[in-house]
Amino acid sequence: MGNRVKEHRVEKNLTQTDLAEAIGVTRQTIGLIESNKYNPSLKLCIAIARVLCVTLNDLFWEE
Amino acid sequence: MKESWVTMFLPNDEYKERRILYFIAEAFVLFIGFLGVVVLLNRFSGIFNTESSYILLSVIAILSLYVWIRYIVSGMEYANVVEKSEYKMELRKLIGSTSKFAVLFAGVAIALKVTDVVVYSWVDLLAMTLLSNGLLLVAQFISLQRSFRKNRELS
Repeated sequence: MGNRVKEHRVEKNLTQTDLAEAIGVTRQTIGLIESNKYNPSLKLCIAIARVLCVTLNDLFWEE
Repeated sequence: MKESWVTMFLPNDEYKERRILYFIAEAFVLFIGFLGVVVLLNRFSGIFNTESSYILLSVIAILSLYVWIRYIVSGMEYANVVEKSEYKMELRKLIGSTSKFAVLFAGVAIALKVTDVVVYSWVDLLAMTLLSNGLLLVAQFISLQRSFRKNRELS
C-alpha cells in the first residue's frame, strides 16, 4: 500500500527536514513513511496532513 | 497516550519511541530467559550457592509479576465486557477456570510428591494450592472489575 506524502511534500517545496521539523519527528521517520517502511499513528498522519494542507484521503487513500 | 513512567526515557520521535520499546521488551524476554538458563545450569554444575539461586529465581518472579500486575491493573484483559449480564457471565467463567487451575495445580503437586521429585508435606501442598488459587482468583477478579469499569466509561 502506497502513500502520497512525498508527492505532496515536493509540491509544497518542502524538504524532508522541513516537514520533520514542522511536526516534531526526525527526517528518518519521514523517509520511512514515504517509502512505506513505517506505519505512522493517526496523530502523526493528521499532523502531516495539516502541515501539507491536504486531507488524510489525499495522502493515504488509494482508489 | 503517555501512561507509563518509561516514556521519560524515550525519545519524542514516534518511530524511535516504538522501536526502542520493542528493543526494551526483547531485552526483558532475553534477560528472563538468560536467568532461567543460569538457574538450570546451576542445578547441575553448582556455580552459585543455593542462596544465589534463590535470588535469581526471585528476580525472575519479580520481573514477571511486574508485567502481570500492570496488565491486571490496566483493565484491558476483558475488553468486551460492557453490560452487567456480560460481567456476570465472565465472573462465572472466571470462577470455573480458576477452579480448574486449582485441580490441575493440586494434581501436578501430588504427582511430584508421590514420585518424590519434590519433598513437601500434605499441609504444604494444601496451603500452596489454596494460596495460588486464591491469588489467581483475586487477580482475575480485579482485572474483570477494572476492565468492566473502563469499558463502561468508554461506552
